[in-house]
Amino acid sequence: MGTTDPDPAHDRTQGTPAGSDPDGGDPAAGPSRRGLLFGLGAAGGGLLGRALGYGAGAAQAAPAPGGPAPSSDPSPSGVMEDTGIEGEVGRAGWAEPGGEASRVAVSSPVGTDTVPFFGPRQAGIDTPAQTHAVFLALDLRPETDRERIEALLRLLTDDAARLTQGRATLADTEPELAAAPARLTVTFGFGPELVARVAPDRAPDWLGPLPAFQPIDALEDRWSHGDLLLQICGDDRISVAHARRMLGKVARPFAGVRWVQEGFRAARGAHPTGTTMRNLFGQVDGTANPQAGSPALERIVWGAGPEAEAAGISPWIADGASLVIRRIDMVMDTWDELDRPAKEKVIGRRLGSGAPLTGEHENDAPDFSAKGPTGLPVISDISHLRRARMDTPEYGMLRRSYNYNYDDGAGASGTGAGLIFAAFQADVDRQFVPVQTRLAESDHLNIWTRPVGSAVFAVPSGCAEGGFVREALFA
Amino acid sequence: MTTQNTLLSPRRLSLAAVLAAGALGLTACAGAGESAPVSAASSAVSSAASAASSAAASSSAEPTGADASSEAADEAPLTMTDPWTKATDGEMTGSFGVLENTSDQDVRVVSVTSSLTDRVELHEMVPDEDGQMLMQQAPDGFTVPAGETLELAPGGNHVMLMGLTEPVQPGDEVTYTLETEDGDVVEITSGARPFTGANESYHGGEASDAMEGDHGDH
Repeated sequence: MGTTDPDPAHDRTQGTPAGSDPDGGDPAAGPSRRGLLFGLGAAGGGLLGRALGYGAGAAQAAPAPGGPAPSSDPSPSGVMEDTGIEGEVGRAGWAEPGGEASRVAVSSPVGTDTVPFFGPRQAGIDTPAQTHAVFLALDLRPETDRERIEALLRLLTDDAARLTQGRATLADTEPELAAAPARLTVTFGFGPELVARVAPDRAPDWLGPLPAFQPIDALEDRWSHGDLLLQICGDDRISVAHARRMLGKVARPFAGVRWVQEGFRAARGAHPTGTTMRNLFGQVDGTANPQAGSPALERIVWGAGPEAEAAGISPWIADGASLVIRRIDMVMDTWDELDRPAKEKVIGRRLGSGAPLTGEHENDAPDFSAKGPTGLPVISDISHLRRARMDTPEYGMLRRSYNYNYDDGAGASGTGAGLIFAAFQADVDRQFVPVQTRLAESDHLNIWTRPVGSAVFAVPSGCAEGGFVREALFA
Repeated sequence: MTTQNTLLSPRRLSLAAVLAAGALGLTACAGAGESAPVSAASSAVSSAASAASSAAASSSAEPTGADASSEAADEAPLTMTDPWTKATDGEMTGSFGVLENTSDQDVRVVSVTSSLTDRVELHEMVPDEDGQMLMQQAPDGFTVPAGETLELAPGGNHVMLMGLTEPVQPGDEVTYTLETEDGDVVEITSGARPFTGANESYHGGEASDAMEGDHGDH
């Protein structure tokens, strides 16, 4: 139910791969002792990190001709002294997210790594999943009409563009908290009501509540639906929290909070890049996710490329997608009653390696015809693996899930932990609903899981600098 | 998304308008790689070319001066970066941003005008006899030293708009014009943002009641 981190070769960030020599011979590898580029007045603030090769400037490919190439030019005239602080991860440098007064020491690559905000497609989708996520669903106030929605999106876009690059927002009350963006991304999703108020004729057919999945659905309104979604992801809990507050604050005159879901995955660097996440049942969760930059991902998420054409999948708008968020409670206490082989039988995979019960490695193809000594299938017909598997080419989704854990207290009853199942695909009805329908009909795992929230959003395309996340509707 | 407003002499405005058309064209095709956040943020202290590209990338820059070409920007001694105004339902509000003097001469801003209201002033914060900071009209205006910046911020120097007859809603664009003692003008377009601070007391008490009206609005 999670995400396979895409191939690091297609990583959109400019980060240094974990484990590379922080000061070593590879000039492209990473942080240096050269310190940081000076390039800011008191005005905008931002990371002074271009020379380090992971900063905003490098990520945005913006250095002017003749400007310093990332990590390759000491550029003495532009270098500010470094902090002299040896960080646990890389050497520390200075950032001034809101001007000189807000100077903060930040370390590379984790703190200073950025993901470009501007582009044809929004970040936070094929971006390798960050450690933390906040899903913030807003409901528009009754008086927030088309024109006011445009103003809202303009403000949110401006704030998101700054924060994701390590810069304070305008009117930022705590600029220091923006200093270490740590791959912060903000991804916008439009709910049915927002689209109805702006451009009802553009609403995709699938934009609305999912069909009821009986008998598994136990949906609660407090985790469901919403007019505008902000998916805020990052590797640092502080910058994620700050983004949530600043974006929520600027949205307040236009919209109220409907629900908030907070989730986590393993810390950046805790496992090798590309390791599939684990959910709180201990399962490897997200095997066989489409890889960033692959034709499969183009088809599945963006409905683009020859594969999509062949499968007849098209997006609601070019470079847009859909996002389904299902909050799935996991019943930990009864799950604990199963022994290890029983747990593996439920899922159809080994807990340790994530390999199908008929294989050795995580990505081995399952053999559904293999029989055990008693003549029964090795991979049970009602195992999660068997039921979730659809070999029809048009199906598939990019799973980008996050764990949650006892947000409401101690969880003494054994509930309150689970998975924020987040899936991106081009067409909800053709790609998501058939799989979920099969799982609702029969999936052994359903005994220990309970969907308590459900929401569907239309993900608009990205925007160029100077624009805002709205072209999909306002153009 | 840095908004850059570039000072121009009045005689230069018509030229600027023509140049602005070209700059706006650039905006339309400005892609992700057009201007890095770092370079946008630092454009105020860097070259005219990057200042112009930053202006072109701005969504709210006014055609007059704001999108000036690089050759106009070469001669522009005063720019404003990141302008914003506090949204309000009350009768007065403050406007902020960072003024940058790119010349080797001090520049003094002596007055401000706005189509929104006749009552718009340059304000500074001064301590009263108890050491409490109060705002008052800046008797000498704002001086931006050669090659330096002057930040207009809540709790400090700001542009004060009074006698407002309409609410300033979040997302609205508030425009005003700064004039220097040399007679140059810089047009500012600032987006209104919800903000609960900027509740400075007014020296002499006249305006403080109106500012009180802003408390807790948002």
